[in-house]
This record gives sequence, C-alpha cells and structure tokens, in this order.
Amino acid sequence: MTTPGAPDNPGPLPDRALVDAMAADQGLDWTDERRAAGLAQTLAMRPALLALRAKPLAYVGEVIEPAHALRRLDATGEVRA
Amino acid sequence: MNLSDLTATELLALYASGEASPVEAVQDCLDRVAAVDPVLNAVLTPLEEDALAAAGRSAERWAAGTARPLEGVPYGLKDIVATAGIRTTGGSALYADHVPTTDATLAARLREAGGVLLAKLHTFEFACGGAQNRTFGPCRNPWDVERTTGGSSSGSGSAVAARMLPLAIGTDTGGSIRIPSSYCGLTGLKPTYGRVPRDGVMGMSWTMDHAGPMTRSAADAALVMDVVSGASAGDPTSSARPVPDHTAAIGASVAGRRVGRLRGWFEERMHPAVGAAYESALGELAGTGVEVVDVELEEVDVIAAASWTVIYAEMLSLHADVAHLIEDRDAMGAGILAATPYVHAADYLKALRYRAVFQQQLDSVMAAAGLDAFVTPAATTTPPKLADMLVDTGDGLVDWLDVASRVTVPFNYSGSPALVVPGPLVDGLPTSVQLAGRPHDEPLLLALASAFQAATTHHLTRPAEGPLHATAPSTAGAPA
Repeated sequence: MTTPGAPDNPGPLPDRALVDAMAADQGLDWTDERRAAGLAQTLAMRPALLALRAKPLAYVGEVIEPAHALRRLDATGEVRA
Repeated sequence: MNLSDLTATELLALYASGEASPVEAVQDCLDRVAAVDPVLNAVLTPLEEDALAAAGRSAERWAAGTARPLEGVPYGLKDIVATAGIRTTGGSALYADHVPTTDATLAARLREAGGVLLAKLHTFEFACGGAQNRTFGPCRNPWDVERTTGGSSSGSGSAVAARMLPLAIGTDTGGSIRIPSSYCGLTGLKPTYGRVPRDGVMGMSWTMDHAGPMTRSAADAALVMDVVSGASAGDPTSSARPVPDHTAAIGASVAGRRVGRLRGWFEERMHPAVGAAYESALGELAGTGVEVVDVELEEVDVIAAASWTVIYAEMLSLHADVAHLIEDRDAMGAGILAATPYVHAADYLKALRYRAVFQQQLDSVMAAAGLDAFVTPAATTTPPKLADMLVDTGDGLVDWLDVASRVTVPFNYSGSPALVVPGPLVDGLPTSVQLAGRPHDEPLLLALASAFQAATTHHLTRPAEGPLHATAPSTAGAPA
C-alpha cells in the first residue's frame, strides 16, 4: 500500500501560495519575509518528514497513540523497579 | 576561602560543622555577582535583600537543628520559572514587567527545602529566542566572553560556571540544559519526562519540555533531584512514581556496567578536536570499570524531523496569543515561530505516535547489547562566537542551529533521562559527554557521572579570572 505524502507518493512541494493560505486561515498577518522563511524551513525539513510519513505504524493489533509514549515511560521504570 | 567557589554539597558540610554560615555564603555569592556579572550578564533580577534575609533564617535553622535538605544553599532560576512577587520575564520585552502571584512548583520545592533564591537568570527569549537577546543583551560564556553559553538556559550556565552560584535550574526542550552545560563545563541533568513537574514554567512544547539541575558536580545534581522530583497536581504529565534517593547513587560502584556508545548520527558533524576529546573521555569512563561497547540506532534520521514537527505544532498552540507580535521577538525565536503554522495534523499525530516506536528501538538496542545506558557527545563542536553564531564541524562553518540540538533532541523526544558531564578542554573551551538511560533511571546516570568525576578533574577546572573582570559593558562587541 502506498502512503499518501510518503517518499514514493509525495505530491507537489509546498509553495508560497500554500503557506500564504495556511497563514491567512490561521489569522496570522505576518510579513512576506516571515512567510518566505517559514516556507524555506518547511522545504528544508521535507525529506525527513516524508521519511517519517513512510514509517509504518500498526493499523490493527497493537494500539499506538500519543499517550502510549507517556505510559511507556512509567511502565519501563516499573519493569526495573 | 571564598564560599562562592564551593559546591552545594561542600557548603552544607561547612554549615553542618559550623565552619561557615549561609549568610557568609550568600554574601560571597552576591559579591561574586557584583564582580563578574557586569561582563557576563547572567543575572536579570538580583535578589540581594531577600536572599540575605532568607540566609539569616537558614542560619537560625542550622543553629536550632532544624535544617532542611538545601538549607542556606544559594541558587538561581532560569527566568521562565515563575516566582511569586518576583518578576519573571521569560527573557522578553513582552513579559518584562510580569510578576506572577504564585511560584512554579519546582521553585516552591526549592524554597521549602531551604534553598536561598539569589537571582533570576538570563534566558534566550521564551527559551528559544537565540543568543542575541535584544531586551536584556547577550549572556556571555565565562570560558571565552566573546562566545555564547549556548541556550536556552544561558544565565544558568554562565552563573554556575563563573562561581556566582553553586547551582541553578534550567529547562530543556531540545537540549537547553545540556548544551549550555556542555559549553560552560557543567554537570546538567534533563530528567525523565514527567519526573520534575513543569507547572509554573513558561512552555515551548509540552511533550518535549523538561526542567532540571545545572551544577558543578553530580552530587549537587542529585541533591536538587531529591528536592524537585515528584508528582504535582498542576502538571498532569508529572509521574506519580516514588522518588528514589538520588544522593544514595553518588559514589556507588559502576564496575561491570555496560554503556553503549551510539555511533553514526551521534558522531557525525563533529569537529575532529572535539572528537579526540570525546575519545579521551570515553577512555576515562572505561577506567572506572565501565565497559563501553559500540551500538547504532536504525533510522534515527527521522527523529529530528519528528521532534521539530512536535515542537512547531505545540509552540504555536502555546504562543498563539502572542503570535501576532512576531516582529517584537528576538531573531531566532521569531525564525522558529515563523515555521510553526505549516505542520499538518496528521504529521503532528504521526510524530507523537512514532515516539513510542523510538522508545521501543532504544529499549531493544539496550536489551540486545545488555546495556545499562548510552553515551554520546553532548555537543559536537565548541561554542560559537556571539558575533556570528557559526560553529566549526571540521568541514567548515555552519549555522549553530543546524547542529546544536542534533545529539540532544532525540532524548527529549523519547523522554529518556540524559545527563552531561565535562570532558577535556579543546582550545581552552569545555567539551562534554552525554549519558542517557532508561526511564526513571536517573540514579544510575548519577552513579556513572560521579564515578567519572571521581576519576577525573574536568569538572574542577575553572575559567580564567582576568576576562571576567573587564570593565566593558556586557553588550559590547555583539551585533544588535
């Protein structure tokens, strides 16, 4: 199965129009320079982000959700206590 | 003897024997602040009058036999930690006159343990603003006053290294305890996520933020951990696990422990001289009876992206009310904030979910190699100059931000405890070693650190005095 947005199916690169629209949608009236800098950082991080998107996580079986990590911290400690 | 030169552990021993009093120690620290802070600019708000009054009360407790664990020990707080009735600026013009009505939990715990708050300390603006703080000026590194302390716990690093205080509290979202500890030659501990509550501490990213001690010895870090650890109703992520006796770990044997040297990603982009110092420190660690073995993590390259995806999303959520004031912020913080609105919900959630997978990877590597802890460099370069904030990785000069958190942020993401201790100097500047452990295994990290410090003298080396006493104003020589 191909994961949308993953390296083998990344879709178009974010561009200035996307950044402008997302900033406007969040009510952020930032300067052109700030939005350009935001786009540059988004593009710089994109290869690693695509790699993260491609990492498989279980759909069935083990439940992995955000609070899992917090519980794991305490549980790991318990194992050694 | 100047009492400002002593560690908290040494001060407590002198108080107990009656050879020194908290009033004398606090006065020596205040004198030291007056002598060197005009150059270093580590102190944002000095608290002379309150500190001397508190020291007097501590002296009475020692005389009465009712001394508490940190009775009469001077300390400082990074100025994002709330203090009731004392301004807490966040290092920002936006909060320059902000006076909280309640203490952060960890600040209250330090006070209730008898600690004497001597000063609120310099910080990068909102713990992310950069070395050039346009409201309060740059904080300078005692080892070379033209260089940054790193950050964001800049004042904590500078003040403790310059012997203004024996200990301070820092916070760490991507390395902000460990980077300044490394650059300033200190012992700094980022505890397990949830070990030290953060309520009352200005946030940057609530799943990545940690608070912990910056000291001149592992023993002092243990003292602080004993006091500030434990659940708080104000921080629902704080752990309800019992607090271990951290000080009991100091001096414990570490012979036969196995430590995994993380190769690959963690040793890339490292200046050769820093690499040589790291090799030397690993040899010294092995000399304590610890077995150091090579290991590597698979696919660690995505961890930095996952970490920053989380930080961006949470930072914008936390800073939403002041996001429209982006042009009023310091350059680095504004630059980070500028990148925050473009994280998709699915990516943020993927990064949060993948955290458990990364934790599993760390556990698996430890189990497979029979490890007790990991070891990495805490910084792969020496600190940059304030004038350009460029670091030399050996392949050329690069922006500090490109490499600064590379080896530290993975342990914010995993929530693992990570502790740094000073290693050998390179060109007169500190280097350091980072030890990372299993969740809630701070005692083992402290045992390893204390064994290392018992076998070496790196943590006892101090900066030269001359440059700390120049008469130039602390903002001289730095760009606006």
